[in-house]
Amino acid sequence: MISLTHYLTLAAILFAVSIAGIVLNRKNILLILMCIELMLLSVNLNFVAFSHYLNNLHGQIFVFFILTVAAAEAAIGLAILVVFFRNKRSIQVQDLDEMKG
Amino acid sequence: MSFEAWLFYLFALLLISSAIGVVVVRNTVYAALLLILAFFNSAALWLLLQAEFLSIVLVLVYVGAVMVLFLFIIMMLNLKVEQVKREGGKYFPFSLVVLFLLIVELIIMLQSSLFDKVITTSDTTKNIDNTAAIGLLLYKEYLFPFEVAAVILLVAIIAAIMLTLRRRGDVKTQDIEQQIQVQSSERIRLIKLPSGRQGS
Amino acid sequence: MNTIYIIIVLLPLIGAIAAGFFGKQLGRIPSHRLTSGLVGLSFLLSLYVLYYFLQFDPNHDVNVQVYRWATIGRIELEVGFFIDRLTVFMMVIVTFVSLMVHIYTIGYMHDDPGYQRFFSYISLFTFAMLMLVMSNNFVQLFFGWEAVGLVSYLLIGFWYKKDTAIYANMKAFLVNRVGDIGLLLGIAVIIVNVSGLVNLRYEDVFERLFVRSHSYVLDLPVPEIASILLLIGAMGKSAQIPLHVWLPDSMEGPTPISALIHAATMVTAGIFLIARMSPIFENAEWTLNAILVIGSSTAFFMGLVGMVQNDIKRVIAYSTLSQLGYMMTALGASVYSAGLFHLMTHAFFKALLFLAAGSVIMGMHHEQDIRKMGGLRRYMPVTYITFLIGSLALVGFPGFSGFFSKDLVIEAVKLSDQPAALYAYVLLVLGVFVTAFYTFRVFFMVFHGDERMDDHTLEHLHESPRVVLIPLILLAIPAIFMGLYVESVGLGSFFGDALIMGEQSKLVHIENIVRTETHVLHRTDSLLQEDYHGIGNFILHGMMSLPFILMLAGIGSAWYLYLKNDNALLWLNNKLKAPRKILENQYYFDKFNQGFFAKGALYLGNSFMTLIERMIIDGLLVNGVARAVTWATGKVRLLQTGYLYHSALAMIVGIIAMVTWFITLLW
Repeated sequence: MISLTHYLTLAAILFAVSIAGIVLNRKNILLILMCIELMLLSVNLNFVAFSHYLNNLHGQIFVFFILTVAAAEAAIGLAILVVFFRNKRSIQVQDLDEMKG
Repeated sequence: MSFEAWLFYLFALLLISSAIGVVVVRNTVYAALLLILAFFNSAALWLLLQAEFLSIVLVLVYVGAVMVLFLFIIMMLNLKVEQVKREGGKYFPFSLVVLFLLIVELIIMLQSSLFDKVITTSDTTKNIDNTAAIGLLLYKEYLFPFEVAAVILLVAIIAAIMLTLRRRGDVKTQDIEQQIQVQSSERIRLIKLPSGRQGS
Repeated sequence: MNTIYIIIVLLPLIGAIAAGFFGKQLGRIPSHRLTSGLVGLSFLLSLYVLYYFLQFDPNHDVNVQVYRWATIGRIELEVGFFIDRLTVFMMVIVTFVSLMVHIYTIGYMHDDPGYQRFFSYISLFTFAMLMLVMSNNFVQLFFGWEAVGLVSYLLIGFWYKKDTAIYANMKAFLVNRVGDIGLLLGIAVIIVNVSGLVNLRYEDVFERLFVRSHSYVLDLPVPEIASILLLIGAMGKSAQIPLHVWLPDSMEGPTPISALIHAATMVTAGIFLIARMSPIFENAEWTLNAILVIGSSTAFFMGLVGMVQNDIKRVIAYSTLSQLGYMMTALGASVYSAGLFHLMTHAFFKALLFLAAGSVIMGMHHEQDIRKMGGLRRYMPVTYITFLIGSLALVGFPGFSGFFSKDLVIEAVKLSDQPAALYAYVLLVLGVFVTAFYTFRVFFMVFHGDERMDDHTLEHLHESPRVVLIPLILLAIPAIFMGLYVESVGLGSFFGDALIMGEQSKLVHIENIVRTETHVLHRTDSLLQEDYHGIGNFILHGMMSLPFILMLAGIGSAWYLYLKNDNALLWLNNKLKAPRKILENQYYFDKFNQGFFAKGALYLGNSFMTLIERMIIDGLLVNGVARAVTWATGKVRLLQTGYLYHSALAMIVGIIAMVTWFITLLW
């Protein structure tokens, strides 16, 4: 029988992989965005699993909102990326240092 | 092992391997495609969890919209593989350390008794299906957050458009606004010309 | 009847407001008519109140409660009027002298651009002084006290374009602050030592203070402490050594206010205060002796300074200091009535002297140096006669008012059983000689001898206008005849219960409880009453006493030195160079104050400014914090590389740390 812990472990592995992905692809902003999507996915997986095993639909509502916000975030993030590329002719993260203190 | 368990392990394996693929492949397009695969697997897992509505939404929204957007961007920027070369060799050990540290820690955490208590089966018979249940909840209890989410999406649309909008000075374009606002009196300029002298 | 008291107080205020705020619209003549008229009305009403009170026995008093304007904890602050014989006495003097000065001012300030402002000020002063004397509680007393101080400040600096005037009014204000702090602390001590709800009314406070007077402040009995503090207040306002320094300088103001404020009324506020607080002072042996010493020292030593001054107004100012010393000394000897009697006669003859001096100054085209005058009696006969009357009254020539009051004071001190009484007596008797000398020195130098002024002034020398002379004549009358009230006013039967007079007081039974331990009953006044055998006898007795001889000697020596024999004067000046120098520098009080207090305060302020304000507060705290923040942020900003992956790394480290923390929590 598949228990809640199975799902949670799966989500944990997924989360760890995406974190490692950010470290690994630290220069590629597109991949960083994708890794963030993966992280959100793992969180969503947790929510759905809890919702199922606790027999509580509210978790799924949260997933719904997270999806909404994640979509908005992806849209804006990519728009920023496009503007950035247009200005710098590059999407290298090391060129993105306008916030240097 | 039941059929359900088989399915779970299958999808879990595919999910993790495609996630690892996203992280490690060199080509960004491949990474995006592997991410789509991960989303599909995840949607399948959610089906196992009887969350049909969300799994469909995941496929529609993520695969259908967000990931297509990603692919669009990748193609639009026309990134070459060399351009995004990664010095993975230097950071690979470090990312492995992070990976294992997190996994070990999270799994240790999952072993705690906190999660034992909540493992209950959810075989309670439902009168209504998942979609209808979520719909009821969304439009009754979560009506206001739902509207807020809609506004957030609207803001995101406008923000994305405004960010990428650019006016090019060297191109002649129609200004529709100005065309609409124009009035007849402004179109014709009546000039009184001195008439030629009569009778001379 | 009760509303009359309020009306008396408010009439001058109305005049002050009208002339002060609407002076331009009113114009000059309506302004002086309005203010003088209102003060005159106030005077007439005061006279009526006096007449009304004379119908009752001396103990009759009225307490008019107007309203309570604040309650702070157990302290109730009220506005009210307490009218008894003492108050009525002061009211009549204040309004009368004020009226005279109003009329005189019409002539004296005729060409001054600040005409309406001046009338506004003197009316305001009248209001403040009435508030002071008619108050029935300490807070209102303090209000009046401060208000007269303020008006005094405004009037000394009336010619605000004159540097010396500004310096003098600032000086007067600052020196008065010292006294005011004393008064304020005195009131505070009283409040602290009266238990329960305090409405700060005099009667209330007196009775309850004595019940508790066994309690001690700083190992000293309460009346002792409170009275010393009140005495400091009185010393400031009544210009006693060492707080006298402001009074001579205040002569920078116009002459009418020198007469009104710095001679006749405001400076007597201190005398009034002590008389009003007599129940407290009577329980404070040490304070009474202090008063004796301070008063008699002021009386003698300030008179000495007057002997060498050459400014006509300054001589009279030092004479005022000296006479205030006489009043103080009488209070110290517990014969309040004698002090108040001298206050009254002094108010009349000193106002007269000042106004006459003002008349002289007007005639001399605002020349105040007596060395440049002389022989004025031929040109200003009325001024001459009135000045002579004032001088005779001041030196205490038999028959004139000053004679009775001064003799009474000296006699009272002679009979006093206080330890300091002998010292005071000697100084007062010597003071008579001094007074006679400086008064007639001025008199002879101004009105007799050769005309020493320049030709231009001599040509224009003429008698002052009638509006100036009328107040002189009106003031000359009481200056002569007020002495006839020596029996009723001087010996205290007029005042009844208003003053603590031996066994007459209704407070005596309370006092007796207190006094059985350490205090003795002061019976000077009753001894004085026993000695008194009719007015004729008093005059005869006075003409045979030492002061009379000394007075004649003073007049005589002034005559000899300044009219008869100039060489003797020169010889004396040469012989007495050193003492003369001390006197001309007024015992170096000013230099000491300037050097010690002013310079010291400046030095202290400067060192606080550089050390505490600039170095510690500005340097260390204000700028130091800013600099520390700048430094710290300068270091911290290096962490902020602006690279995305550094932020991401920080987040990852944070996540790992958080998860680790969770694990430690769970296990």
